[in-house]
Amino acid sequence: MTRFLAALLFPLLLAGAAGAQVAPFDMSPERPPVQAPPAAPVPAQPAEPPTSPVAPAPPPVAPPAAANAPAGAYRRYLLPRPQFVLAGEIAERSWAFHVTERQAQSPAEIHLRYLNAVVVAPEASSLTVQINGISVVAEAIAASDRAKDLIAKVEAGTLRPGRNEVRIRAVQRHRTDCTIQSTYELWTEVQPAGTFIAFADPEAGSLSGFVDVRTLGPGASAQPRVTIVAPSLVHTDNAGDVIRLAQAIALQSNLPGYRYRIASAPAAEKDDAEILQVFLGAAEELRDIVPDLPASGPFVGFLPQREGGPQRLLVSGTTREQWLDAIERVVAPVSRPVGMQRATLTTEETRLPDAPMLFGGGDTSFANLGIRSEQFSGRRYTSSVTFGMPADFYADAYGQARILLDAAYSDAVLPGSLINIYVNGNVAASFPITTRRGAVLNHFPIKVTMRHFKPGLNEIMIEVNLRTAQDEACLPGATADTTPRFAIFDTSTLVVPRFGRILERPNLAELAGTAYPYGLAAQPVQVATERTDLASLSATANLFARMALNAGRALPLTFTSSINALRGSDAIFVGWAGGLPAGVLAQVNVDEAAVLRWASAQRGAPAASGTPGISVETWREQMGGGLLREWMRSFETWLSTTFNITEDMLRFLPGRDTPFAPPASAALAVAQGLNPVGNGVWTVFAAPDQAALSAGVESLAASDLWSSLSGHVTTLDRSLQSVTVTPAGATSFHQTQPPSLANYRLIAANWLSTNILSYSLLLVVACLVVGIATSALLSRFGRRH
Amino acid sequence: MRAALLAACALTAWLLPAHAQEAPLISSTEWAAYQEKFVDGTGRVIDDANGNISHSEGQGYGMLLAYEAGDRAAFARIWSFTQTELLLRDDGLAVWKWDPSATPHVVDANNATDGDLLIAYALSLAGKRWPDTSYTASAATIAEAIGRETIQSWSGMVLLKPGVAGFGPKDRPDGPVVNPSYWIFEALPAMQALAPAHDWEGLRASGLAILARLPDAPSPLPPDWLSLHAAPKPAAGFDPVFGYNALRIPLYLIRAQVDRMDLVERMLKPMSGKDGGLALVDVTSGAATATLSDPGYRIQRALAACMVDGQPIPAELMTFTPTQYYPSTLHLLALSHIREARPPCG
Repeated sequence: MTRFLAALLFPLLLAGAAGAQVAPFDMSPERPPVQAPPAAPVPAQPAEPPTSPVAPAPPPVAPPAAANAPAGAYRRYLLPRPQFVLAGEIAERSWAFHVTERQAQSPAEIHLRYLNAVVVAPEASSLTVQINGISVVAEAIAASDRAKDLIAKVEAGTLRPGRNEVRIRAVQRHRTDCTIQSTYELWTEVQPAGTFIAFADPEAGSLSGFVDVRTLGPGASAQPRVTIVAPSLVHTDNAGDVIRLAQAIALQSNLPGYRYRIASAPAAEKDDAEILQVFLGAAEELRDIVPDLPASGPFVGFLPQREGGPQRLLVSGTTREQWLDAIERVVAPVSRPVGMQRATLTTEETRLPDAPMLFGGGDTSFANLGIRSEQFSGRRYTSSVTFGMPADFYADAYGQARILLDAAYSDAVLPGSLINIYVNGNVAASFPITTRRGAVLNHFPIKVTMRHFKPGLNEIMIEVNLRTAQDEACLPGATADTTPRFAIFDTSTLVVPRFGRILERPNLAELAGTAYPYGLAAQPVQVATERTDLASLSATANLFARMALNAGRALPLTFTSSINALRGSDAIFVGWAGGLPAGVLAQVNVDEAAVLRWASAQRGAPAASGTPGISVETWREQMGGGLLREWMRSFETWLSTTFNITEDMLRFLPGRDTPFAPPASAALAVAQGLNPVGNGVWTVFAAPDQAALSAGVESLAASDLWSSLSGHVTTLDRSLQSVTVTPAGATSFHQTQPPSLANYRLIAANWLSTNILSYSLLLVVACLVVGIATSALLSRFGRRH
Repeated sequence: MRAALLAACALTAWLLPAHAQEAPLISSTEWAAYQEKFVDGTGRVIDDANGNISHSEGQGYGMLLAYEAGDRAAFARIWSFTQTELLLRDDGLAVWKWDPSATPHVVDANNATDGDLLIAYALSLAGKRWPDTSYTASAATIAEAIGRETIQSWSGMVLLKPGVAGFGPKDRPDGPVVNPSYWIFEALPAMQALAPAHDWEGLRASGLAILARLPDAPSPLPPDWLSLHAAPKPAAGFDPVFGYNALRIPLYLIRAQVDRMDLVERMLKPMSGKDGGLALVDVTSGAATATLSDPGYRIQRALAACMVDGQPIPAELMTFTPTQYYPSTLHLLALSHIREARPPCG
């Protein structure tokens, strides 16, 4: 429809667009103001400097559960995410975790700390936990005043050495309200710091080989830290090996939340967030800092844990070659050979099952995606699945996937009920239920736009809003009724058609999704950073640990400082403004002068240049506009509000990017551009100073924000909690598939859907050709009077 | 039930006619010193540490202090500035920021609900003491607007939106977001009397429940900006600190004489910095980020300590010398309360 309208409007817009080329004013559409939070009305924050040095941190308050855990118990923290909210009427999460043989045999208790919304009705709501299918907790949800600690025995034989599965499920009902809207107010938050398995065996904490890294789990802190102490860093250039080891730890634990720090000596102060200390180097170098270093031989394994301290892992040898070899030996089992296509993205330590990779042209049953058949008696059913898309996915503008739904709803369900499909949090389809007498849906097709699909991990959520007369009356106790209204069956399938496959560059989403192109590198990835600076090195370690997880393999890397050597290769630059080689920022289309101003502003120093940034755009803004500009603006607004067509969509060709200037509110900017030769990409991680660089990269790499990386530039704001994406205007294509007409057709379809004026032009040209041909034909053969 | 009874008592106490006070709670010398530094001739309360801007909160504090100092003329002046320069919104609330160096002076037309509450509260007090029906009428109009525009229900709680726009459950992924220091508990009974159609008692109870629900670890201190999307946690986009906003919360609890000194007790230790200073704390780690030593901040900690342990407040904090707008304001608010209701602390 949009395309049709655009074709109709084409002649008019052509005039407009032509006008735009000569008219010296800004044509950006005047969108309705975004409802942003107002500038925080904060009270005065006097600029009083702290008169005394920072006070020592108050002693941490012992969590209430501490009193209950058996003395000397070893805790294996369970929740794979720092925020674990079970929201809505039904919510479930399951994931895998590993324990050692000793832990599996130890008497154990599960501790669970949770807080729930005031409106959750305890008599109709329950929280259950299963380990390996065996129920260990089944409780009414009743902790609305204060967080509550649940403790339950884990029966012998429940835990298995090695891999185990845990499933937490909440069924929640509102105390009084029967509306669908009220179900959004239902939540139970399970809190990581109080949720763990406590092993009574005092030796449960003794770990042995490198493989036991996966039994560490997420730790008590929301920001678990892994410190790699490599004394040789002071005098030897082996930063690349240290980062290989960080990747091996990431892959072995398979948890994206670890924050890596590289040091040449152990920290003097105890860090409560530290979950693992790794000592890397030759025995001789480590002797001073590891008093209990084994006397002889190469050694890779855990040292005995010290009271209250983190686990300690040793990767050592008598010579440099031996410990370098030791790194490769721990990397090998967790890496995969380059070029081998993955069937799944490994996510099981955060979410079961592993997300299958979908390359198009096939269907996947819900059973394989992790949705089980179940029936539901509430108002809003939700369930979600995850799957992976390849980096070269190129069908966001026109592609349509389908869900073939096997489901049923009872005759209590009224018309006006809805089945909604969300892709990565965006509405992708909405299907109204119109019949009154209930129905069984058998492979009922629901078209799902692929607009919000992205490379890497994707999530589809199915939401079913069920209206009933009973809810509209809402008599007391109505919310607790357990008569099923809806059922979903695991025979439903997700069908993803064949889609166009070509890489667009730059596009940070490819990096975020599967670490492309670095994830496929057979040759070492070129990294330019300040090797002698441990903060930059730690940032690089965090970055590579995350990329390794997304790529499913440990990436080879090498450091270089010669920009000329990188002109024709894929490279990564990690540095603070001013510390990056000249020309790098310009190459990825970032305004170098603006970056320097950014750095000065963060330091509170006056800008070096002394003048604010000047640009043609700002001058245009100042000049205002004449009648024509006003008219164009109001026309664009009308188009946008009436037909949902924006100026951005009305284009023949992708626009040109203006050099990006980081806003003062940003702590980190990630930018991608082609390398000078044009045969690869450069990705730059830049921050105003070293502290912001290491904190910024760490927060980005260790959190869900990583998956928000997209477009040409993504900036992380100073609170390190939200990102802003600047999409790429001009992109170039890079072929990944063998040439085939079918693929080219799909690519052309997507390109024309993105650049709809070109599509319209083609249509008009085609019409003209047909018209002229018909006219010519008729003039030769037609009847003349 | 007990809370409801207490609220009823507080309400009754508030409704009784104000008795003529023997001596003002803020001495004329203190008030003169404050005015000289922070209030200009037009009645504008100046935040000297923030580029000499003014805000609705400052005007509200100024009116409250003028009332407590018994200075009707100053009260009228500050109110007049507030009325003419800040009460510009259609909904009856005040714009929050007024910048002398900007043209026009109002650079952000959003409101800040604590400023509105303070203004309405000060007006209601003044209307009782100085028979001027216009004060009470204006107070009622603002109270009604606060109730209508900024009180929202969410997940069984009655919440105060920090501003009319932008903090609700639909406005942000982690919404609703509140600022716990905007709950000026002592003002709520007055609002109940002025705009009885709104759930002020529910607001009060929720304010206390939010503080009680904060986790013990890593820090029981409330952050300045709190997301209540699920379990309370620092709101995205703001520093996760017990900072310049939240440090007022113990004072507000104590001034309102709520029966929840356990909440103050929980906060006392973590907010105690070195040498009697007030610690600002990163609530995600429990680590202090700074220690404030201005007497206006120190007295906040000292007053909380007096309430919890009965420690008398050091004598040097009981005298007032203006330093900067914000700590000085909090200093006078603490002093006036000690003189009125907690003589043993002084």
